[in-house]
Amino acid sequence: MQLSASPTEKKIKILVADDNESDRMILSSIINKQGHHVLTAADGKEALAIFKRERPQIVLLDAIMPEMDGMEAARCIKEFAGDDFIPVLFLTSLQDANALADCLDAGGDDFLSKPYSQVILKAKLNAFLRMRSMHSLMQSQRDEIAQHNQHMLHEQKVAKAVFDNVAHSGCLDSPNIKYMLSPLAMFNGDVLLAAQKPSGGMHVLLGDFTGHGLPAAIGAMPMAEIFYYMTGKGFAITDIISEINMKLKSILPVGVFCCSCMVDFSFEKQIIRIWSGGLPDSFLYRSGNREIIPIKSRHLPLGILSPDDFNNELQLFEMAKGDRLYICSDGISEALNSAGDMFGEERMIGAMREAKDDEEIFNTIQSAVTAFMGESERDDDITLLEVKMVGDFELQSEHFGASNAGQVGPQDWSMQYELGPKTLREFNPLPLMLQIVMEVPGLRPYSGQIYTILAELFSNGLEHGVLGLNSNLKATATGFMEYYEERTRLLESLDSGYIRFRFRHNPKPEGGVLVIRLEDSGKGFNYQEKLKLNIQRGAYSGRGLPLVQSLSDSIEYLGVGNAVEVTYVWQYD
Amino acid sequence: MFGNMTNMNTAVKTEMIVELKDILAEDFNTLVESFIDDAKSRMIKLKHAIASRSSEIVRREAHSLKGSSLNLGAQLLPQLCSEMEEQGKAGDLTGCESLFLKIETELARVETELTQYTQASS
Repeated sequence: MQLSASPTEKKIKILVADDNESDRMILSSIINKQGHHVLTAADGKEALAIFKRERPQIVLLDAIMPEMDGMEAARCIKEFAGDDFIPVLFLTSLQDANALADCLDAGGDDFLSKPYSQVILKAKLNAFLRMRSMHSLMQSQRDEIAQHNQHMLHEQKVAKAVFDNVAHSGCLDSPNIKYMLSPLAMFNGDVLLAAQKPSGGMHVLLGDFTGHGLPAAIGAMPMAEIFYYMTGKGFAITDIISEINMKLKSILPVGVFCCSCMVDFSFEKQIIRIWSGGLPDSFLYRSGNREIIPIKSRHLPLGILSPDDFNNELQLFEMAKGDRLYICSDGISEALNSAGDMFGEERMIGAMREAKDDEEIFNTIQSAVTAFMGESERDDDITLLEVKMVGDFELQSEHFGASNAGQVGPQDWSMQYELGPKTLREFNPLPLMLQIVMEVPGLRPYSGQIYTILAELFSNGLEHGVLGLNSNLKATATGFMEYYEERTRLLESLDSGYIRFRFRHNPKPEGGVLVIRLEDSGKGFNYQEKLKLNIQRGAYSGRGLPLVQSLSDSIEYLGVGNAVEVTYVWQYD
Repeated sequence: MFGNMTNMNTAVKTEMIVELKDILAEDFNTLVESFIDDAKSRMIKLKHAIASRSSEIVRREAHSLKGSSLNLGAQLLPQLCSEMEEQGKAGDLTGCESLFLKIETELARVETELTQYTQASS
């Protein structure tokens, strides 16, 4: 832009409309003398026609003219000019203040009084030319901004599609899950993840990143990836939550973190194990007696503590079929109404009690929050998740979609893998074992069953064999908790013993045979008696054995009962 | 006769004429002619309007004559036109006939002076 050059040096077109010929002549002469080009009209109608044809940059209008008067002409010209700034000056000998005001109301920008003065006209023309150039600069900057904004919105739209695929995916559409996500910005900082475990259970995670928009969304990507990958590979919730924390800690800037709650649902054992950091209370709803149990956050949010300081300790709860767990981001509890009060946990519990039946709880909370906030502005993301405890194998397992066609991989092989006390204390071998077994072409669709078998054999071998825990403890609900506490205590102080996996796989034309043998360093047990008893009771304890039995083709205890061999015959899907 | 000082006894301001001659150069005579033609036609319209008591036309024609005579440097004429315009605006044309006569007389003075200027310039 050339601000230094005087605007008058540029020749512009100026339209003069006046019904007095002598007035037109004087004005035209003055303007010509100043180096501009003059167009003249004798009435408003003619002025408008010339304006449309010639597009002059400035218009001088007599207020009172035949045909169309100056005010009407000004209105039409301004409308026709649209975004373009066309200064309109009224030529007037009007003295009445109201009449002058009417001229400005009609869209006029200034007056020029009779008798005309060369000096004043020149100064006014210069002033309006300066305004015009400022206006066009503003206009082009506005267009530029609009274009940038358009571009940014497009980018955000694409990024959001990717984000939604990553952050709100998995098995959120499972029949036992209900959720509500309301984005404050285009990206909200809330992450909702759910995935079925190979063993048939489910992992869910609700995360609330500090902030909104792109910065909040970025951390969700690695979080979701770790969650899905490790869950799919059979890793335990403690391993996954530690891994996510480590990843977020290493990539997020200071002050950005993720309040999260991750839950491991075991549909087979009917328990949940929950890790919660920085989120408001979750609520466990017991369908039987309509009891509502708050579950407090026990940890700092993810992405704050270094791996050494991070605590992946879980809270364990039993849940009967039909019981429900509610997890929400602080957007719910801190939702404000127009008076500035927070929705709070009491109102949340109130809404849960109000529900006519269990199926209505979720909707009741949702409408209570909406009604509470009314017209007030949302200032945080509001995310609510309900997960219902279901029976084992009630949910259809996800299809892995693997086909045996054209796959190559190990088919006839065997291996042995032994874990010493130090390893048993801190390492979960199941994902690794499953990964090795799943290398067999065509076996992937059976990973759930095989994982379940491995998990049962391993936990039996570890708990009853290596640690020597008595499974009778698990017969009652309180004993159940004691059992797990004792398990943790014994495992932490373990200094001898072993678990030995042996695998052997042989291909068959229609599939293969996998033999899994697990030996432990324990004393063994009277397995004939145990098998009989378990079949009779079918309760908490030792459910693993009949389950393994039902999944495999044969199960055989060996020696003193410290070794068990399972044969699993499979066929191509 | 034409000093730099404004002489309220003249119908037209001298310094305005000097400026107009500067602006219009050889077109000055045409300007005077077109002013006189325009003024005469407006006076006819004004006379009819007063006779038929059309106050809106009285207002417009008086306003127009006021504007153009101002631009030509007339001194008393615009004031008389303004009075007429106000009456037209108020819709009360009482005594307009005598005001019209005053305007007619003053316009004649303006014409005479302007014509003298055109002769002086040519």
